[in-house]
Amino acid sequence: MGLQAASLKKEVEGEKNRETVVEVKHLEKIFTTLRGSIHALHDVSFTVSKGEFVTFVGPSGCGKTTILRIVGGMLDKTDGEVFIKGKYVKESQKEIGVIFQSPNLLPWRTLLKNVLLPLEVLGINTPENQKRARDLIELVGLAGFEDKYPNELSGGMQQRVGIARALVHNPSILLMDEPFGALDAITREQLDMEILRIWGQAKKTIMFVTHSVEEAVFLSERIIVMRTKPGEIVKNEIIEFSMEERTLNLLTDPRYLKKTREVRNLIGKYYQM
Amino acid sequence: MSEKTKTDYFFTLKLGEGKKKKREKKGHRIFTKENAGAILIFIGVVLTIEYGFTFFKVPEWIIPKPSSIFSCLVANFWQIFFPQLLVTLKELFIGFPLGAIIGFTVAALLSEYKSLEKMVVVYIFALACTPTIVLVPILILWLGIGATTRIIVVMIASFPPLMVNAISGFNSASELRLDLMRSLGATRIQTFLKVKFLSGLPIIFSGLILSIIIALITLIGAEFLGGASGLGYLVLYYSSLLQTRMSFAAILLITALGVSFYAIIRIIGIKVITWSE
Ligand SMILES: Nc1ncnc2c1ncn2[C@@H]1O[C@H](COP(=O)(O)OP(=O)(O)OP(=O)(O)O)[C@@H](O)[C@H]1O
Ligand SMILES: [Mg+2]
Repeated sequence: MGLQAASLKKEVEGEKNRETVVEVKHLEKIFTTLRGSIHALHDVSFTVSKGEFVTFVGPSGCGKTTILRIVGGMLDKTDGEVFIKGKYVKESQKEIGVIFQSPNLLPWRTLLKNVLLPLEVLGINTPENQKRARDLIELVGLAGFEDKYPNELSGGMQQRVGIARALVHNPSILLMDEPFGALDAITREQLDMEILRIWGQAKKTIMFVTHSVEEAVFLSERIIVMRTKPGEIVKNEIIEFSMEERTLNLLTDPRYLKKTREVRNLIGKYYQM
Repeated sequence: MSEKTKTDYFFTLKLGEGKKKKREKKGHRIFTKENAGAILIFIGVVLTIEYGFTFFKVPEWIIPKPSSIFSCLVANFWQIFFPQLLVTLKELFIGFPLGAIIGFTVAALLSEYKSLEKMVVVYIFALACTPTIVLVPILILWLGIGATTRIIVVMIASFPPLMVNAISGFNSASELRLDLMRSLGATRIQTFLKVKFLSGLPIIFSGLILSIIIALITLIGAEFLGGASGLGYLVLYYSSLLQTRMSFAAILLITALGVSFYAIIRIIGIKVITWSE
C-alpha cells in the first residue's frame, strides 16, 4: 500500500515537472504473414518523460521489440498514435539513437567509420561532430582501435562501438533492446554502469528492454510489465533508487534484493502461458 | 573438415578471403602434395595421349598429339588465331559490360520496389532458365550475321545470371541492418549504397563470374551458328576440314579465355571484399 501511494506521488510529481518526450496512445500492431495474422500489440498506451529511464519486461513474444521498433521509426504501426516531442516519428529521427541486441556493426567499415555512419546519414558529418565521434570512442574505452574492423574486436568491444554509434548524433532518446543479453555477466555489468553514467551525465531519455528482472530493477526508474497474446501493458512499477545509489554495491543491498523479489513475483504470473 | 582440406565451390566467393590469406601467409605453400599431384595428372594425361595414342595408331585427325596441337598454335598464332581471338574478345568486352549494367540496374530496381519484384519474378526466372542461345537464329533473322548480333547475344546472355544473383545479394542485407538505417531515417539511396549494395557484393561477384562464363559459352555457340569469324568459328571451320589440330588449338584458347575471366573477376573480388561477416 505504502509503495503504491509513493508511486502515485512520484507520478504526480513527474507530471508536474517533467515534460513528456514519448507519447504512445492506443497503439495497435497486427503482423500479416503467409500463415495468418498476429496481433502483436493491443491498446498499448504509455508516456515517457524527459530524462526518464523506463524498462519493458514481459514474456517472449509480448511485443517489446515491436514497441521499440515503432517508436524508433523502424516499423509502421497498424493503428494508434505515437509522438516524439509532440511530432510524428518520421520527423524526429535525429532525436533517436538505437542500441541493438547484437552489435549490428557494418563489417566493411572500420570502428571509426561505423561510429560516423549516423552523421553521414543525417548529413551532419562536420569536423566538430567528427571530434565528438572520437571523444565518444574514447569514452567507451576504445581509443586506439579506430582503424580496426569489427571482426578484429571482441563481442564486448563491438557492443561498445554500438553505444558510441547510438550517441554520436547526440540524440535525446535512447532505445535499447536487450543490448547486453549476449554478453558475459561481468562485461554486462560494466556496460550497464556505462549506460547509467551516460544517462546521468547526458540526461538522456531511455527506453530499455531486458529479460533480467535484476537488470531492470538496477537500471530503471520505472518498469513497464507486459503480457502476451495480444501484447498489452499490465503494470507500471516505480523503482525508487536514486542515481547515487545505483552502483555495484546496490546489487547486494537488501532493499534491492527485496525489490527484485517483489517485481519477480509481480511479473511471474504473466509468464504463465 | 579442416580449413585446409575444404574445397572451394567453383562460383562462390568466400567472404574475407583476402584477409585470411594475408594472415595465413606462412601456412600457404605452393609446393603441396596436392599441387604436385595435379601436375603429375597433367603430365600423365599429356604423355598418355602423346605416346599411347601413337602406339595404338589413333589417327591424328581424331585425336592429335598434344605436341602437334601446341606447335600448330604457336606457328599460326599471329596469322590465324590472334585476329579471331580479338574478334571474340571485342564482342565479349562490349556485350558483357552492357549486360552486366542492365542486370545490375534491373536487380537494384526490383529489390527496391518489392511489389514490382513480385509481379515479374516469374518472368525473371523463366528468362534465367532459358538458354539464351535459342534466340540466336531469330536475332540473325532480324539483324543479320555480324558483330552487332553477337554483341547483343552476349548482352542478353550475361544479364540474367548477374541479375538473379544481384537480387539475392541486395536482399541478403539483414533486417537488423535495415533497421539501423531506418532508425536514422535514411533515404532509399543511402540504404542502398551503404548497406544493401555492400551486403550483396560477395553474391554479386559470384554472379559476375557465372555471367561471363555463360556469356562466353553463348558467344561461342553464336559463332557456330552464324558468321565467319571468332574462335568458335575457327573450331567449326577446321573440324569440317578434318584439321583437328587447328580445332583443338582454338579450343585451347577458348578454355584459356574462360579460365582467365574467372581468375580475373575472382581476384578483383578478393581484393575488393576485404572484410568478413
Ligand atoms: N516481422 C514480423 N513478422 C511477423 N510477426 C512478427 C514480426 N515481428 C514480430 N512478430 C510477432 O509479434 C509478436 C511480438 O514480437 P516481439 O519481437 O516484439 O516480441 P518480444 O517481446 O520482443 O519478444 P522477445 O522477448 O523474444 O524478444 C510475436 O508474436 C512475434 O512472433
Ligand atoms: Mg525482442
